[in-house]
Amino acid sequence: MKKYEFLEHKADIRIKAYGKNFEEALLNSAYALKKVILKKEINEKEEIKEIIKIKGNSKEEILHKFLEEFLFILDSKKELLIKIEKINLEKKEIVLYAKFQKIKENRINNPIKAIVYNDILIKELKDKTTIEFTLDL
Amino acid sequence: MVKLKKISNYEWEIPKEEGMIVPGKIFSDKKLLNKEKDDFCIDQIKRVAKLPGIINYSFAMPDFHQGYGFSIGAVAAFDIKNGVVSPEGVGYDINCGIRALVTNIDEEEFLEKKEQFVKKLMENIRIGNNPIEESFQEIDKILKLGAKRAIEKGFGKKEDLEFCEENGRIKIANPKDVSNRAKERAKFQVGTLGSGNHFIEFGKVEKIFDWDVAKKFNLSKNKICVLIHTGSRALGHQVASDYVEKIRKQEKNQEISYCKINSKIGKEYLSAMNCAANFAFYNRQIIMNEIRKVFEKFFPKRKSNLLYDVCHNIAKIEKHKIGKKVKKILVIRKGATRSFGPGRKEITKKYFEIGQTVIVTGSMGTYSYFLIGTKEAEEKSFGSCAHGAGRELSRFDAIKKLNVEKIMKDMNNKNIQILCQSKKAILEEAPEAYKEISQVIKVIEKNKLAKKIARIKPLIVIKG
Repeated sequence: MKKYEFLEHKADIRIKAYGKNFEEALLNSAYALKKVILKKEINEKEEIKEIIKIKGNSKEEILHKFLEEFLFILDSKKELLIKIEKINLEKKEIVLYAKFQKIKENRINNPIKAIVYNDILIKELKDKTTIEFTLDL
Repeated sequence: MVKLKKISNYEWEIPKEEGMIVPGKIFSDKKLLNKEKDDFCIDQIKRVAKLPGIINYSFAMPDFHQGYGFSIGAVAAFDIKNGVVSPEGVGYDINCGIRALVTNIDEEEFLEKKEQFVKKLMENIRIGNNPIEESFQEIDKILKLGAKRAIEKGFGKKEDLEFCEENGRIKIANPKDVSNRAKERAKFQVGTLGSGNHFIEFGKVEKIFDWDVAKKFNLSKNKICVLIHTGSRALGHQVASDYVEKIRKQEKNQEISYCKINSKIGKEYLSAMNCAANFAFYNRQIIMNEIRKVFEKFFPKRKSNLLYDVCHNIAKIEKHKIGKKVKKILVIRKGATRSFGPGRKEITKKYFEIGQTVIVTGSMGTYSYFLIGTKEAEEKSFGSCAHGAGRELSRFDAIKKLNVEKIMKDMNNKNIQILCQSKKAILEEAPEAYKEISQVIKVIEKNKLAKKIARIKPLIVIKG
């Protein structure tokens, strides 16, 4: 199964992420976001482990906060996601264990302004979940 | 395609249908309209027309294209008592706007020193993040005072403020209405350009259409101008996100998030939005100041003056004539520019008798225009006008269909230097990805939303 793909959108970027379940689709959404931010892989030595907790009343809200958290960490700590090692979803909370790398100033110029709230589409089937969302550039 | 009612070759109406409080009004010609032949934008215009308290029309300017919630190029005005405000109506890049600096540096003398000038400039301006973070205390001052704070710190001249919309500072702005999360995201981005469609462009005055007004603007042929296009960076993005979430939860909105202007949350949003707008004014002042310093180094005998600084994404409380009465209303402009005619107290004294400066930028490598606002714009569109060329190709299509080498060759042939870190960004922002600016300008003029004063040809474009 492919992890994600970019869909047609006039001014911004629309992403469709795939997974066996919601957690896997969330994970692949994050990697799609990283692909948009990072023009080419950067090998920085310093790796930082972060534990991130996201709460939400709906899966749309969880997705929005989840993706926005990566933008927040990039802007406020200058850390970019390398890999999500573990992701747990229980009721209304996601806990993820991820590795980030410290980025020097001017190595990244994040083009993403926001995760657009009213464009989120989540479809859950038996063995497949798809998540669609728009990034405002 | 929905059936539009033709008012003229340059003005169209979307008739009222169920749920719409007002009709839609599109300022466009047939060619530009056909570029938006899918119904996304039309649906967006219709959806805005259903918002409570909307007055007259749900407008679309000639550069309109698909956004989210509101289309880009949307203008909508609301009654203060009964009407609503929408963070999606303003957009995530609050006070993304444009600032124009005019000089008496001749094109020839500029090009002689171009290489060293650009080298020095790139050392001084910040495109991405700063190495050092700004304190929350200082960020709060910037949120409250906008460009005025920059002047207090010595980054510019006091008279610069006269040539900014709102004098570079919207007053009802309480930093307490901005989350710490937004300030955390902003702390490394104070005074930076950002990426996407943000840019700095050095150009020359290539043609003058109105010599009298050009004189007032200190414009002369073949002299250098600078355009700075940026906004409120991650601070504005987070303010918008925070309030989209809060308002959605409270109001249980389905499509567009909105709330009453006069509600507690409505007032908090407007205050936070104004803070983000002030942050953007401050950023453009800092960037302009850095450019001025480099001008002073290489052209010490030459002068530079701020022509104007204008917002593209904002909600403003303004007085307009509704029927026979003048009323205070809220005007939301998303990817649209204010375009006030002569005699409005909001515009700077120097331009009081001629009208507000309007700046409409072309895409990378194409012309931009300086215009003046008109009384007709005030009557037809609540004093609003287009802000740019408007996208024609999606980013996806631009990357698929266009060729970087060909674009760069075209730029070379036109003697335009593009400085951009990313081939992908060059493709996404190529002239072919945007509508023809001359068409947009023609529609503006045919509707008398603004009047052409000068055309600017790019020489150097710096993209984030």
